[in-house]
Amino acid sequence: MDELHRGKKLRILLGKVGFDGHDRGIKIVAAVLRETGYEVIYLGKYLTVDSVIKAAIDEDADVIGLSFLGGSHVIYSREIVEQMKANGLDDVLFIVGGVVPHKDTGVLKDIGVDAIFPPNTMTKEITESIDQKIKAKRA
Amino acid sequence: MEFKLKEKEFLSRAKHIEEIYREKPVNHETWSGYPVKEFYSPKDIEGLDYTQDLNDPGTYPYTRGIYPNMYRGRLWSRRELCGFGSPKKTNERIHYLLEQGESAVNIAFDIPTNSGVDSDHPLAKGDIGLQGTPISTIQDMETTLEGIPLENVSVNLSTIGVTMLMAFYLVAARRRGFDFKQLRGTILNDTLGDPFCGYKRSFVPSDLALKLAIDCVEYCINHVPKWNPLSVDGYNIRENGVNAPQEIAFTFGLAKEYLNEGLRRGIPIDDLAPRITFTASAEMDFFEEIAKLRAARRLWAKMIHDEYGVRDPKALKYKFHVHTAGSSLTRQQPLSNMIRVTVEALSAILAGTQSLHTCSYDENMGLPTEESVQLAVRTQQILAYESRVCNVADPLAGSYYVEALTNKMEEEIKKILDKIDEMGGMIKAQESGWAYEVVNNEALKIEKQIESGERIIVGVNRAVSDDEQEKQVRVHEVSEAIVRGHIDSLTQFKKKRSMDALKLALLKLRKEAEEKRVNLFPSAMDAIEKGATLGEINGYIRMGFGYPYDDLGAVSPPF
Repeated sequence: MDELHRGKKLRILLGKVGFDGHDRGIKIVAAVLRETGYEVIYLGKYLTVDSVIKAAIDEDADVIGLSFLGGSHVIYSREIVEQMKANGLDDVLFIVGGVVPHKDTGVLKDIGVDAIFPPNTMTKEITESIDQKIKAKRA
Repeated sequence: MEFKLKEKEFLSRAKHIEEIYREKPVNHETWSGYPVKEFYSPKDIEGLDYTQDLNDPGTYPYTRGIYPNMYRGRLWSRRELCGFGSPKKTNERIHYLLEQGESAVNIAFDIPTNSGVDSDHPLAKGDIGLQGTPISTIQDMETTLEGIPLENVSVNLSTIGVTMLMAFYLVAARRRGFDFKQLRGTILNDTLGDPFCGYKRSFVPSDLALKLAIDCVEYCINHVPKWNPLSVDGYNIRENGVNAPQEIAFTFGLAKEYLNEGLRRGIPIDDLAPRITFTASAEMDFFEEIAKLRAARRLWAKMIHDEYGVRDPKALKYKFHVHTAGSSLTRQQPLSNMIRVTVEALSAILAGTQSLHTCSYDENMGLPTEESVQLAVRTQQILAYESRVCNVADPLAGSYYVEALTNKMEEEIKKILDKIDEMGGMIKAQESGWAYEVVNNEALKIEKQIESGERIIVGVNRAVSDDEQEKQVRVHEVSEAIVRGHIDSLTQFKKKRSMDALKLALLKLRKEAEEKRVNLFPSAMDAIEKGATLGEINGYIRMGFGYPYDDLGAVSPPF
């Protein structure tokens, strides 16, 4: 894990928005990120966009990570990015994991999602990507 | 390709090619982690008694199959899970699948519906019509079932926690003039298992779960005799991360809770036990999955015989549906998934499944398209019509390996069941968190094995290639317009109801739920006739049990 932001461990907020309860993936990511040395705040499921943003502010999150299986990734990502901008969370990374078909990767990037981790992504890729992108964002 | 390579490059490539030529298995364990020998012989099944431990198909303990003639009597049901967008789109896809030759219907509901809420729930906006069909009204159920001959085909309602979808089904069937006594099908109704599928326990708390599950079983015993009113869902537990014996053990633990509740309510065990059926996964370890299911049959028969004293042979059969493992499929090189599905489907067939859903190659991208689900149906048809495996029941019986592995599976399943019994049963095992810890630990273990290379997944950590194939797969899309149309129709439906009649019906349902003395189906069906939505039926029953109308606190009861 890279140089810490402001001398502290990176704080990563993880969760699921909406009704989808498929959480095998996000729980694994939470466990691995914790083992790697990040400060992981697992908010759980059935979150709203508002509750995610509020938690990101309250927890001083460096990264927001959401997981989707059913296909609601575009609709919720759009709202999250809007709210992040509205609340001045410009130096916070927003990453998305789950069933995101190839054709939607561009759509999400255009919306402002910083990284997308589709199924069968190795967790090493996630940690490397987070470190790289935080550095770039805060350069 | 240039063969006049510099000596160093040529030698390095030659070395690599030879390594692959001399390749060996990375480990000698089953998928679930049990070491296996180089070969098996009579020594490994010493003491195996044909009559006691195997017996002919259709004879206790049913290790070799639950019917004497198995597929010669009737092929397994080719039953593809189906549902998306709206009741009308789902109905169209069901008819497409029937035209393609599937032999039974399998309806998936969207997540809000499966959580017991209506399509206009304020927090469900992003999830309507995804993963299954929305059903909020009797109109939705009728549209979904339009043109389907419910007395001639078996229909599975793939809902774990929303038992009252059965009430909607029955009202729809009755309105079309079908005789309840001729309806054939299944509803999962494995309400206790909801959290294993990712739903909040509080959507259907355990006491309510038992009430709904057994009300459905009881109603069907009395009125819908050909229906399978409860199918304990091992598939979803397995998808969340457990291994083969854990999958079966957890389903048996849940099944015992349902049996015990049914007995507590005075349902004779001979009526009750045959109504508990199962759904299982079929993962990639070909022989382990077959052994798992043979062991499940033998163990279930012995358990119901010994622990519940049942003697009626019909009540001792482990009857099941298999869903090939979605989580074994990859996003990378998706066409490879058809090979995986074929291996899994074949293992389910050789294990003697009654019903089978085969996944589509685009599993990791979206719901099946027409072309991808057609191939899934063709997979089953090729196995059924071309491979000739269905002419002989339990063809692997007597194999030293398969019998030894079946014994091993039974032993491991029993160990876990004993542990669950020690804890006081499956509900306690869930409440203490133990059951979910098992799931999480196993899931993490599997992931680490994949990332370390201990567990090979072609396309992911071996034989990796670019994403060209992935990019070429047409991905299914759910039209926003269709979903909006569905939500509009719900709004229209709600306006057209007689609120007085509806109020009486819902308050009656709530009172009966509170008093806990009668089966809730008749009142639920009456409320449905008066225009109650799924969310309203669910909400008023919840209130009767002392729970909030809406678990997420975003909707108030209409009265």
